[in-house]
Amino acid sequence: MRKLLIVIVWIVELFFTARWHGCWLFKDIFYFTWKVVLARAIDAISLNNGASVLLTHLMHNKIVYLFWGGLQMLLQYWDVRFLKEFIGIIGFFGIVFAIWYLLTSLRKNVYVWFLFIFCLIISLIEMFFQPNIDYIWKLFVFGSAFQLLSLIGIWQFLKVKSKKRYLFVIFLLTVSILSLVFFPLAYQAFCLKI
Amino acid sequence: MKLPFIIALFGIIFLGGFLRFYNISSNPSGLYTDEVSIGLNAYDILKTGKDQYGVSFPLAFKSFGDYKMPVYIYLVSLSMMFFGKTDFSVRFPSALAGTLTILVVFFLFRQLLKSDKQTKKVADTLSLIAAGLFAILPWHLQFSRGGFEVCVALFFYSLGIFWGLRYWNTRKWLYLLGVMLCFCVSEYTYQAYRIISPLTFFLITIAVFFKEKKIFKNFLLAFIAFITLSFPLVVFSFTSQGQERLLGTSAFAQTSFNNIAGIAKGVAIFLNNYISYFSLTFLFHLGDQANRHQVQNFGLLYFWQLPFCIAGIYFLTKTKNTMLRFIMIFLFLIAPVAPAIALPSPQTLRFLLATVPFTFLTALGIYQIYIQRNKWTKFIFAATAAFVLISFVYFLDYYFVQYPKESQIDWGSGCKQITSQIQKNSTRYNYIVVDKNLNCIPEYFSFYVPSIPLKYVDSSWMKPTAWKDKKVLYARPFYGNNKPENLEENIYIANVNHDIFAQLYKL
Repeated sequence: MRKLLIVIVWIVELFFTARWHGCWLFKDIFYFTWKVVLARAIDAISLNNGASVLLTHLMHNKIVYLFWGGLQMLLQYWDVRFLKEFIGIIGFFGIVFAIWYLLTSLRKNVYVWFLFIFCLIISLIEMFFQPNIDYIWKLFVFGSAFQLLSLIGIWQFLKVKSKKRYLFVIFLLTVSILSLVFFPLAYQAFCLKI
Repeated sequence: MKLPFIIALFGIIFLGGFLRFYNISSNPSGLYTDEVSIGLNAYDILKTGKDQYGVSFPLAFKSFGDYKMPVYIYLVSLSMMFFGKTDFSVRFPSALAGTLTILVVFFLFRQLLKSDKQTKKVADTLSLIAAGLFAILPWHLQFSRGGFEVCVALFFYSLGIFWGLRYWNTRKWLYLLGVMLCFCVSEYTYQAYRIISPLTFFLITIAVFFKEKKIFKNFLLAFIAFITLSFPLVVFSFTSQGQERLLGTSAFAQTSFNNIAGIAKGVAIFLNNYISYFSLTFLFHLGDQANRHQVQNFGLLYFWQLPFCIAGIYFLTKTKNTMLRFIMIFLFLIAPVAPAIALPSPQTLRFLLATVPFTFLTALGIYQIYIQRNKWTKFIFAATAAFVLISFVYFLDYYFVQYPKESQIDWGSGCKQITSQIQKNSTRYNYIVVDKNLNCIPEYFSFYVPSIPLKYVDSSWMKPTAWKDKKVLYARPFYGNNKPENLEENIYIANVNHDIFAQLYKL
């Protein structure tokens, strides 16, 4: 039963990611460029007129905005609103379970940690450098990595043999399928359409 | 409670109160349309006992295409009795309720922690941490400082929950009466609580039936009394006026529930909206992007809270304090219910109830890391303390230095500046003419300069020949300086571009 559910979940996640072929680029909310850092710093400094110059430069400078803004922007890749369009609600919960499993499990899960860090790194690379690779390849790499992480999460979640957990996963699957049927174009909020 | 704790609690309340009251008349920089409407209705009630439309002591106040719940307006009337018809009076009830909510948060969390051996010892310390965090929480501060009804509703709702817990522990009927009254007042205060409060009371009554049959009868009686007191609101909800707000913001406006597909779509919309309230970018970065609802790019919660929230969830899964777990999960689950049936979703204002469980969760996360003491604990706490301090200083800078400038348009500051100029010049002119494209609703002028007759005109307006000998002050947006010799003054917005909001011409 667990294997069957995992396969169904994977197929549903594939359907979600496959829709993104209708685009050619992620939207600018996923990118954090030097220009954005500068713009934020300049805006903040301009609005701080009247306050101490030393304090203003100490608080509002490029290093602060690179670090803080970068962290904020990174959340976009792990955000429920993006992931529920990218791999479905079921996929999002899979990732939550996977991270939960990593944080709470006493066993050393080298491969899962590796996968999680890989997902983080590709998010950071895309966010900061926007590498000049075909969108389709990006989609493949992001899709595969996030799907695999979410499938591991669901696999671990279902390891405890409990009817409630199975029902919960089936419920999430149903909601994901409903979303796919009723909001087929919702993903366009996150990417530029061809 | 020991003396140092009492002193610390007073310190926190003082800090929270200071942050909520300091400079509220001018930051946010003006009254926005709903605040103006509240102020006008409150003033009319105070002076004549009737609202703007001549209805005596109404249950719902007509306002810009919908109807407002009455409690906040009556509270502003009271506040105007002491402070006059000012911006401060309009915001006072919200700031006061926001400050008092800190106290409620403290006692509510303390009560929850005291209901179990494991957490009893640290109840005072953790509750102080929670109260301190709540006092400086950007999300709650933002709404406490504006004339938002939701702050008062949240105060009564959390007080209701607290008294419910007190009743559970002491069985004194007075507390149950308190629960009933608090939930009732909260639903008469803010639209979303018309759903949240009855639902909470109903679900708690059901939970009591399964857990503690002895007191079920009392809860049921209180619930019946609550329904009876809510009856006028229920009747109002079924009228066309009562449904206006719901229909105007409903997420299901395009959905028909006549068939299974329609119902399934409705469920999918609700769940999608519901889940969106737990979006990380919404909570920690952008909020709902309405400038009135948060400081831009700061987020609703502090960034450093994120790891503690995760640790707090871990604590909740392990704790034996069932009451704490029940209330936390309950608050988290119920907070997005009413907001999820409305658009836009997620929306910061309607989800304000979540500030309480998020605060508790952070405090529990701090405790979870504390009890797992290892060589890193001291470092983690030192780093956290530094982050808390730095984030707080950043927030103060963003809120008190930058926000008043960048949010001027959103808070109607330009209109306020025009009215103050009109006040200054009122004796020099026979007519004051205002261009409709300024988007300054007539209520602004009724609130600030009620004695001066005004004329609202289109952008094509020209001074009539019949007014040849009359002196006119004409306020309009910047269309270009075609008559620079008549320009009296430019009204600027103090944003980055220093845009011209309006131009005042003497004609």
